[in-house]
Amino acid sequence: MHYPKISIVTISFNSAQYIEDMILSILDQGYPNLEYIIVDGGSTDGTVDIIEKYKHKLTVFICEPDKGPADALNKGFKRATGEIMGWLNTDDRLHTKSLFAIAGIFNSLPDVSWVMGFPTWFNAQGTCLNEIHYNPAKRYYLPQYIGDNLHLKFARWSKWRFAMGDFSAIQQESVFWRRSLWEKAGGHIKEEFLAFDLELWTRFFEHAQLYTAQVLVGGFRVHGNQLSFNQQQRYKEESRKVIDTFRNRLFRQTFGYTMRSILARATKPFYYYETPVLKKIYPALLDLPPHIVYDLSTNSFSVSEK
Amino acid sequence: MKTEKNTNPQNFSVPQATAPGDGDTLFFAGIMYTGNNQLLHNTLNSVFRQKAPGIKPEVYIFHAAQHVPAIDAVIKVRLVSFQNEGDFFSKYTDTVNQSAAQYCVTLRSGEEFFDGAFDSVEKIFSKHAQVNWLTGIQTFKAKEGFNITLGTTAMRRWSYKIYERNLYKNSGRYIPPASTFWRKSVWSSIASELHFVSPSDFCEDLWLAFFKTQKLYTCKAYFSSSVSHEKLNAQTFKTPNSFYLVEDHWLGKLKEFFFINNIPYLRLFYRNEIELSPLIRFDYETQSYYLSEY
Repeated sequence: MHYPKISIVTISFNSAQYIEDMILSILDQGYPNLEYIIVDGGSTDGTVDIIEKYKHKLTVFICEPDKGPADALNKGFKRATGEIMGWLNTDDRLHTKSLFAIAGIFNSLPDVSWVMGFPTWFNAQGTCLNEIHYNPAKRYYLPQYIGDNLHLKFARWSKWRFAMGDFSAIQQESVFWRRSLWEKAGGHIKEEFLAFDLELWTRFFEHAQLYTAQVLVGGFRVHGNQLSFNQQQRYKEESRKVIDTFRNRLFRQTFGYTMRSILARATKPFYYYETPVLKKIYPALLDLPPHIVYDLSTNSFSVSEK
Repeated sequence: MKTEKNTNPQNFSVPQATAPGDGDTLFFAGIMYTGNNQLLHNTLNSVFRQKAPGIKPEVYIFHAAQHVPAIDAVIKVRLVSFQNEGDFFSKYTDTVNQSAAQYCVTLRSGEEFFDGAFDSVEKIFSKHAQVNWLTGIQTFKAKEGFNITLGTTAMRRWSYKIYERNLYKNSGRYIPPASTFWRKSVWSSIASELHFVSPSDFCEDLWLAFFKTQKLYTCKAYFSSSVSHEKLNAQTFKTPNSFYLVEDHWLGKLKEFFFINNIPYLRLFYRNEIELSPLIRFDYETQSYYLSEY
C-alpha cells in the first residue's frame, strides 16, 4: 500500500489536561509517513513539558506567542509538506488507525478531495459516544442530529445544503483534505473569523464536494470548556455571517438557488424518512455526494448512493 | 501440533496489571484465542489500557490444547486450555463460576475495547440497578485496524422477541459479544440451566438464556470493535438498510420500517410490540448515563 504523507497540525495554549491523550491518539497509530506539527502559543500550565516528551517524534514544534488560533494554524500549515492535510485540536482525538483509513480513501478514490469520517464524540473521561448531548430543555444542537437513523443522512453535505444552513457542524476533527484543494482554496486560514473552520469549508465547497465515510476518524471531546462553548454566542453569530456570505455568493452565481432551496426544504422529510422514490428528490436537488463505504470482504473503499 | 512462538517480543509490551485491592471492581474478560498472537496482543493491550480508578481486569485466555498462545511473562493473564467442544463449555462455565469479578465480557482475539469502555460500563451498572446486561454500538475492525460503523441504533436494539426471530432466520444481525457486558449475578442465576450448543456461537446460547429473565439495554457508546462476523457477507455491508428487516408479514415489515426510519409516532407501534427496553444515553451536562424511552 502507498502511504501518502499526511500532515497534521495541532495548536495549543494551556491545554495540559488532554493534550497527551490527543498526541498519543496520533503517534500510537504508527502511520509510516506522518508529518506532525505542533504550534504552541506560549503555554504556562505544563503543556510545553508534555509536548517536549514527544518532541523527538514531531516534525516541527513551534513555541512562541501568536495572534490567536487561526494565526497559529497558519504557522503550522506553512511548514506542512504533506499530500494530505488536517488539524486536530488539543481536546479532541483520532480513532485507532484512522490515518490508515484516510490514506486508503485518498489512494483508492481520486475524485475525493476532502473527506469527513463518521461523527463521534468523547466525554471528559474519553469514552466514545454515538451522539451529542440532546436535552430538550437545553438544546445544544438540533434534534435531528441525534435521530439515529438520520445520523448518516445528516452528515452529508454539498455547497447547496451548507448554504441553506441545513446542518449543525462539519466535524472538523474528522476532516482531511488534499493539498491540491488547500492550494486552490487559497492555502491559508482567514484570521479575522472565530468560525474560521466554517469559512475554510465554504472555500473548499467552491472547488470540491465533501464526502462522508463510514469510518471512525476523529471525535470531539465535550467537556464544557471549549473555546467554541465559552464564546458560543459569538461563534454562532460569526457562523451565521459566514453562511450568509456564502449563500449570497451562490445566489449571485445562479438564479436557481432560491427555487432549489424551497423545493429542498419541502422534500427533506421524504429523504429523512425513506419514502420510496420521493426520497431521491432531496439529494438530487442539493447534489449530495454518495457516501464512502468500506467492504470488509475485499478490504476496499468505494462510493455508494445508499 | 503447533505452538505459537513469541518471535517479536518488543511488539508485545502490554502494560502490567496490578493486583486488585479491597473495593476494586473486577472485570472478567474471557478471550477466545483464534491462533494469531499479534491479534491476541492487540486485544490484551486494549484490556490493560482501560484506565479507571478502582477497575481491574481479570483476564482468561481460552485456547485449544494444541494451540498455545505465547504470552509475555509480565502480563498477568490466566491460560485455560481445552481439548474439545465439550471440554471448552465446561472449562468456560467453571472459570466464570470461580471468578471473583462483578462484571463479565467475552471476546475473540483481534477484537479490541475502546478506551473508557470498562469505566462506562461500571458507571452504568452502579447507577442503574435494573440493568443486568447491556451492549454498545457495534463497529467492525478493518484489516488495516481502523473501525467502520454501519446502520442505525434501531438495528442495535434488542428484545427477546427480536432475538428469537433472528436466531432462526439468520438475518445477519447479532449481538456483538465484545460489546456486551453482564453482571456475574445474572450468570449465577442462569448457569445451572445453560446448555451450550455451538462453540463458535456459544454466546448466542448465553444471550438466549439471559433474555429469558432479563432485558438487554443498548447504550449509545462504543465499547469495542468486532472482527467481521462470518454470517455477514460483502453485500450485507453494502446495504446496511436492508438486512435488519426480519418480519415476515407485510404489516410487521411496515411497522418495522416505521421504527427503523424513525417516523414520528408510527415508530412506536413496533417499539411497543416487541417490548424494547430503554436506551442508555449520556448526559454531557452531568457527565452521567441515563435511561431514555426513545
